[in-house]
Amino acid sequence: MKAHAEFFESAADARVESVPLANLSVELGHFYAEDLREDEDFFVDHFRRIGIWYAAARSAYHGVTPKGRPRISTCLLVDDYFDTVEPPAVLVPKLLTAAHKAGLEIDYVVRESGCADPVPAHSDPESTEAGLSPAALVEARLLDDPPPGTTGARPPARETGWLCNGQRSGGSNGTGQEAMKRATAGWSPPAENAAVNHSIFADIELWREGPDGRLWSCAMLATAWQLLRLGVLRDKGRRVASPQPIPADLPDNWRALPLILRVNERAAPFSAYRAMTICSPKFQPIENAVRTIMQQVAVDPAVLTQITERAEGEQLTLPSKVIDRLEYLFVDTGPVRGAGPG
Amino acid sequence: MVLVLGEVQTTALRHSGGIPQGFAEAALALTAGERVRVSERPISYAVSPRTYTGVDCTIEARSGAKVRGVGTLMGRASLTGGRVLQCSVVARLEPVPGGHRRAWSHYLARLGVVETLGRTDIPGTAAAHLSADRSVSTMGMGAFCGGLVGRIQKSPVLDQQLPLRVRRTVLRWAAVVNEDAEDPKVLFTVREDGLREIKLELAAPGAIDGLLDLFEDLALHDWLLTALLSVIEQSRIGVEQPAQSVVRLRPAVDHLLHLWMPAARLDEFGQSAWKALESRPGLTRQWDASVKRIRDQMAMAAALVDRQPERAQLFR
Amino acid sequence: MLVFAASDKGGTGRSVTSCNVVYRSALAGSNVCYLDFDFGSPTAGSIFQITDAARGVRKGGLHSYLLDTNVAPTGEAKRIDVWSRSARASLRQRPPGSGKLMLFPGDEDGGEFGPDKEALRRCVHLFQALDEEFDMCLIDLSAGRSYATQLVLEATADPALRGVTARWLVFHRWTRQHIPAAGGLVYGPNGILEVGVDAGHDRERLRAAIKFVRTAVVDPDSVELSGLRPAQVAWLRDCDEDLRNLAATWQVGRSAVIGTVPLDPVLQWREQLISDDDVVARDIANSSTVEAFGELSRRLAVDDDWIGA
Ligand SMILES: Nc1ncnc2c1ncn2[C@@H]1O[C@H](COP(=O)(O)OP(=O)(O)OP(=O)(O)O)[C@@H](O)[C@H]1O
Ligand SMILES: [Mg+2]
Repeated sequence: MKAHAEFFESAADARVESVPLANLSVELGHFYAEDLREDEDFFVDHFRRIGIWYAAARSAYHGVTPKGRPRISTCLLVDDYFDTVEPPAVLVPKLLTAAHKAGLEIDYVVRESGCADPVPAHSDPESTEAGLSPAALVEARLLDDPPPGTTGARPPARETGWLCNGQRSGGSNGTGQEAMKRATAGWSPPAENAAVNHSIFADIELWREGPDGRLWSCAMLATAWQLLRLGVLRDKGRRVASPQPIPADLPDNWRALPLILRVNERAAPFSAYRAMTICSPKFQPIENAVRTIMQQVAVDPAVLTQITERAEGEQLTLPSKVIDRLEYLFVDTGPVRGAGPG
Repeated sequence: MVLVLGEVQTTALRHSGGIPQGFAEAALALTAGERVRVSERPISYAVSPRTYTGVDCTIEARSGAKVRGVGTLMGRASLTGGRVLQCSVVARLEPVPGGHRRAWSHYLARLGVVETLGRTDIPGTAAAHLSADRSVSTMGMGAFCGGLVGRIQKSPVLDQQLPLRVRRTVLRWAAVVNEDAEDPKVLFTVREDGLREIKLELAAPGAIDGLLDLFEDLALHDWLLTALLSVIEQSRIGVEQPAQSVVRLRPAVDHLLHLWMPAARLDEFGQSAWKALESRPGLTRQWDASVKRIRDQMAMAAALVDRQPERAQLFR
Repeated sequence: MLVFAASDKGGTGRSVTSCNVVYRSALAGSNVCYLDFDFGSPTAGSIFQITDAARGVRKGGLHSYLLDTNVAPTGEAKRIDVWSRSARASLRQRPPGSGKLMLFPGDEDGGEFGPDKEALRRCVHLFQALDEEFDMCLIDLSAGRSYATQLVLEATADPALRGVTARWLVFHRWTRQHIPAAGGLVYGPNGILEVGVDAGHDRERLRAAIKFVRTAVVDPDSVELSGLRPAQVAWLRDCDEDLRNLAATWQVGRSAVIGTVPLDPVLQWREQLISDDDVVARDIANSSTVEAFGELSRRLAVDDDWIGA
């Protein structure tokens, strides 16, 4: 039997566009929307604390990259989806200066709302077809973790807008209660599918219909964000949102900006073989939700193969599971004031 | 030894005429953000992106021995000649030691594979898959396949008018990959109930798409023949007046006759497999004879057309 | 075309009439099937005289197709070819030019059940697939306000079945109790219309798709009653008139009726198919009964008979 990839791939599938890749993408912290209104000193303090761990990450990757210097890029996600924040013209320079003063360089700034907006097909200027939003692309590739007893005839029961890692409590999963037959009594606990002895059951809200249409959850947008960083999203084979240079005049409105803004001309590529997030432990619940979703995203095998082959070309070994390419450093990043959604 | 199991279901698209390419693409868009691939030569053909579903269930061998299987089934749909809809499901079974299920992301890194947790009777599993009747299918593959058919048939771009009524046919196949095997061996069996089985034994398969193309092409032509025979049966040749029979034969002429093109899109391996099958079930021989029968009926009706009563019926 | 056979009361003749109608359609050349959705007491097997499915099948019937949580029976619903499997010799000689006649049996140990999303999904798939194959699928529902009735109302409202014609036959006997009961099943609280509208049907369209069938009707003018005394005949006429008025008030009057099946001696004794042989050669059944079945089978397919009410 041929290798798995060879067996399931074909020439036709090879028509997926490739994405430039760094060795590592480092996210330099998370902020609540309230925090973004703080003054420069707040951010200098934040970036100083992050910088210690960023340096550690860099040297760790120097050790494991076989060929020359590792390509490392840094990025920051601005939450403009759930809250209004200062306009780009104010916020972006503030962040860049603070990072600089703390000895760090930010390479890319990404607006979170971009993960919910349809992305125009940049690589094909002829195309008028609006693409899907990164969040919608992730949703399309969700493949539910099946509880024991699931067959092709009985797909996992989906609750609209929710995703879990097992079976919800109540247990019946929509099975018919037959008339004239005793109902099985009582409450049944939720169960995690891959539980080791005891369950850690998670039920994640993906989206909700609101008055202005679908409101994606923070966890879903953050999943799209992490997958963008890993360079594994494609829309009909095309890469999604290549980084755009920072315009000379920053607009007042975040939504007037491209999804990914390159603020450092000499930056290594935005997407990377691996992605690391350095942030306060306060964000751990969100990242847990992200990981629950990501466990159930079936990335296009053609994309995975493409990336694996390129890594091999650089004598790098990558974990076969996409989720294992994410790393976290939960550290004290100074006082985090806000408490709203990340 | 490795085992690849699959099923193909074939039916007429719920649409009155030939379907424009844009519609075909819309109907087959099973996954957002993925392309439908189309080609026009030698026959119009469109194939959906792949779609998957997770399973965690018991797999039973012919002997009754059971093993737990965890992984994903892969499905796809295709449309030939804007008329014949086919859905395929496939899974490659891979025995793994140890009885524990892994994290779900493990299975998503190997889509289309179902890992069996423990000792697996491969020939027995293939036999159980092939010998089951239509009310049973390994891992619910048949229901998954039927679900895809249903999903496409309800697409809003289709006008829901059926050009002819024929039962969906089911072709179950099992490919046993055995390094010691010599020349590839194919065994095609026509069972009652619109059920077909194919057993393929080979040393090294090409890519999965080659296998799927072969089995779908066989299923397509088997369905065309089945549909043609059923139209002929319902035309009540010999019971009705020739003109009346010809009217009933019309769906075959309108929708089926031009689609017969065995192995047209297949690679070398597929073509040789077809050739081997032609000698035994002889699909083409039966097709040609049936087409001739229809043409004869039409010729006879045409010869009788000057006689008033037949004429009236024919041009009603 | 999907045809749903419903009745408020049990024992109205719903199953026997439906089986005979399906049989007539097959004889006329249509491909037809009969689905036993009377989960509590599936009897179609015995009417078609299928020996090992007289009270449903032991495994894989419609009930388990819709509801089984087991892994194994995950394929298609079990079917029985009546032409080849009936114990009745005259049925086994399928006449040339006739259509398919297929029975989808229930399960022996079925039973009623409650709302179930998964069953609805499977039901939609089943109807969709069978419509691809058969000119007419007749679905025999449990009597009364059953879950089977709610299930098929929800299924036919699904987008997957748009474009599939669905018609309803509501059976009732020609009696003072049956007439209001039939009207109530359609128009009353939690009736077919109300549940159908909740499921997403358009009220007027659904209403136009529902017709009534009167069963085991005694015609005061028929030859069979020629032996009655004049006073008895007069009394019967009065009753008939009375029932007609009652039917009109319950909206089950003439314009809503699609068929009337006379009382037949054979059916009174036995639930069975009436063959032409029973009428012509053996002379045990009435030709008017067979004609009524044939007429009903024809009218089911005549679109003009189903426009407006
Ligand atoms: N036209 C008729 N003349 C005389 N008897 C009839 C006629 N139609 C049906 N019957 C008889 O009435 C009885 C009930 O018929 P059947 O079983 O078809 O009713 P049903 O409505 O399906 O009942 P259930 O609700 O129990 O399923 C049977 O014995 C049947 O033979
Ligand atoms: Mg009955």
